[in-house]
Amino acid sequence: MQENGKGSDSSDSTGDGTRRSRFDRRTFLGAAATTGAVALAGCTGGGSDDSTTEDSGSSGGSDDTESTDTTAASGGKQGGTLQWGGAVPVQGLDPHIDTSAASKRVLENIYEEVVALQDDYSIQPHLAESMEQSDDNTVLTFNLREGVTFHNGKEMTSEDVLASYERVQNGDYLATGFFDYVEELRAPDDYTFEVQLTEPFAPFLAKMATAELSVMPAENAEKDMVEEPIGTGPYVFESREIETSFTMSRNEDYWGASDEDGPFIDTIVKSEVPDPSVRLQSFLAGEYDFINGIAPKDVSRVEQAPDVRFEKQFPKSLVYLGLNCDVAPFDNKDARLALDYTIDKEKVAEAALYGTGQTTASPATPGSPWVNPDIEPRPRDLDKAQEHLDAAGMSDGFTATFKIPQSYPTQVQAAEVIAADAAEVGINLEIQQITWSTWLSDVYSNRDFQATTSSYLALWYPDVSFYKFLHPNGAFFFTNWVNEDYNALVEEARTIYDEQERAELYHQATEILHEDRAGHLFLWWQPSLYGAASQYKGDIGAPDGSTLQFGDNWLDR
Amino acid sequence: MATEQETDRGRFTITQSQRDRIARFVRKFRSNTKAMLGFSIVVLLVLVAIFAPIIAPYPIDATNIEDRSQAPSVEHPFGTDDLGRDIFSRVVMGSRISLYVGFGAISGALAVGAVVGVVAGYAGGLTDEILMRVMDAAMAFPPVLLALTLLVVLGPELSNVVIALAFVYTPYIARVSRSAALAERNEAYVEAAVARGESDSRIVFSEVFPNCMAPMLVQGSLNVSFAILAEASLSFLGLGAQPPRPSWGLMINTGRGFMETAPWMLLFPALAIGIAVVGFNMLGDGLRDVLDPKVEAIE
Repeated sequence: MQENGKGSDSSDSTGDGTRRSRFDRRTFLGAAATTGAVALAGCTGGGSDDSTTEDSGSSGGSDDTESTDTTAASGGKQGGTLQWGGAVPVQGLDPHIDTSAASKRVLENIYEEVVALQDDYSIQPHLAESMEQSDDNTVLTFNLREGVTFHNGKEMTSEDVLASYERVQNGDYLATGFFDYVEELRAPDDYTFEVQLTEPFAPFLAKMATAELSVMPAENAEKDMVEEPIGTGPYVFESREIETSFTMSRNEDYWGASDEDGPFIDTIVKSEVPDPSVRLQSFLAGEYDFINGIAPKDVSRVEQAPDVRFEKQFPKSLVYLGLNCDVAPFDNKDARLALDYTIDKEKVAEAALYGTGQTTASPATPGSPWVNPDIEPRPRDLDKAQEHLDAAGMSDGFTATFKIPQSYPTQVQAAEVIAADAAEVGINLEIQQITWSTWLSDVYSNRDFQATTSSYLALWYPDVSFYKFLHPNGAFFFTNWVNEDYNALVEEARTIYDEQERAELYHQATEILHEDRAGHLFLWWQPSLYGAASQYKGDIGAPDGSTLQFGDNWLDR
Repeated sequence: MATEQETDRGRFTITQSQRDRIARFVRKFRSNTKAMLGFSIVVLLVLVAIFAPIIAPYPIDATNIEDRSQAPSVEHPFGTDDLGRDIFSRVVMGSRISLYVGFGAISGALAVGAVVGVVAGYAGGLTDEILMRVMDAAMAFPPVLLALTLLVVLGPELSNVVIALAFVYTPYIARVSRSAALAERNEAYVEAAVARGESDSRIVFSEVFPNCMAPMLVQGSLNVSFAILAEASLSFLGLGAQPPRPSWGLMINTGRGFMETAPWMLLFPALAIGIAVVGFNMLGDGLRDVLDPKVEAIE
């Protein structure tokens, strides 16, 4: 698709000192095609960015990328301690193992990857100065930065990158499945890293931009589980008390440190405050500079509070109704359709999100080219619901248990509205509140459920949206909905780098999801909601919407 | 034939003395303010529960997003909740859940606990030891914690709450019944029954048992209030009644998140629990005062 290598020269000169290096635009196009969303708008900002501008507070949009640069240039103040009231306690500290967003919110600041996701959803070299793809898209070559040091003082070389990748390849880690498409990993010299793919496999580069393939020192990569994270990032792990607090401090020797992009804040202390009311109260009382996980119902209180910044980053996650297509009654397509027609999606989203979300019929990030513009959520229509009930041979309706993770109040609220709606045609959804661990074991692992609700984070690249939880081989597949046509489409899409061609396949796939009423009935996209003290400056959040990067944030006091 | 006649005669004589006793009981009960107050509250609660569908002006699960979190008004005397449902209707309907669990669990506990206790008390010896050590073991766990563990095993459902709480409160009833049976065992009428050659089981269930009823009733009505509280706690934790059922505990759990913006969501179900618990407690206390022979002696 493109010639390579020319861009790497230019990036050499500008690479140091800025976290957004420039590189060959054609290479970039290749990368963009793998990542999804509005990548073509370009690396310098400008252009349209439908996915983020409308809803995304001050972060996310490409225009904001520029404005960040100007505000930061006018002077971020160094120093201070950021008191962060955190919603979900930090879990494991091994980025290759831990799936929780709570862990990623801190690890994103400690670890870095060879490539990084940008605000416009493009992927650019990060720990590499430049990258190249061969014409047939099977060889990825990365020219690593020199002078990048780990928090333990050692310099990062291709040996560490190789060791990190081999760890995932040979072990049983989150991204291990992606190495089925990897023929060979090579480190020909200290600053070159190569990935040889068996066939064109577009999602690999996107995966490289996630914490699941972050770079750790070779000696840590030998461990089965890392408990003391050592990375190259702007913040250094200091200490943590499980379920109580997590502390990290500024990396004095950060390779990308600059007056413009920080890092500025000396110490970041995350206090674990899982109760949303307590967290908000303490924040409004001035105990914290920053909190995440504001409940949608409390948005108006934060907006009205004096001297407080309210930030919304859209989208963060997709919430769906999961129907088990292997057991009655939802093994019957008409039963699924009947339920679909009873639900007033707008009302459900409004009930749970107080106007902060958006309904959807596609698993793809709103505004991205992967969204099929012709497909809308089914409107509530009780006549049609009854027709499908008749067709399913269940004219009087049916009863199903509805397992809801109780730690997500928005999903409980939604479930109550859905159950009340469905009851009108005799579909009796019996809500059962379960703990998150029960959800993981019963619903997810054992697939012992009829209906449930849950959500997915960080769907900025389409392979996650369409493959990871909807293809039988996907890592998060659990609703047992299998459609061969659909599978063929999303498999093919993985090998295609051309955005339009690929989008076409995803549009068709979305149509099948919709027509066949897949086991995932999408309810809404919801934002991350943050509150910050007015002295807390800089963009909050990270490009993928569910994590946080504090690098260019600072405290004005 | 002979046995039957004997039974009839026995019953007749008991009825005579019972009448006196009942009359005395009623007189004392009515003069006891605590008992009467508790009794009125409980009767009121039961009436509300029975006529709940008539009293409640709205269906309990009719959501109405436009009218969410409304303050108390004429249309919604207790306000509306986060999904626009009428809280008054839900509190009224919620009385059914509380009473169902309260009475259901304690009836179960009484059925098992009373038998265990009276048998243990009357039989004494090894039987007593075995039965009561088992009860002690069950009692060693804090009630709500034990119920919680049982519910995790049984699954979060209201009928399971009844079963779990019945299990939890059985030893308390058994203990009280046992001490009552211990006291009765040496009474003259028991000796007389033994002398008449009545079987052990007959003595236990026809002679001793009825005479242990008073302390069991006291304990039972006190435990109803505990069971109501326990149900609220379990529902609060998500292990009891499931939404959209209007359990008071569940309503408090939801309302907690709206404490600053819509305090009525928390206030009214909490008040309802408070009233119910106070009612059953006062009734139990009052009953104890009325039935306690020591108090009678002073009188």
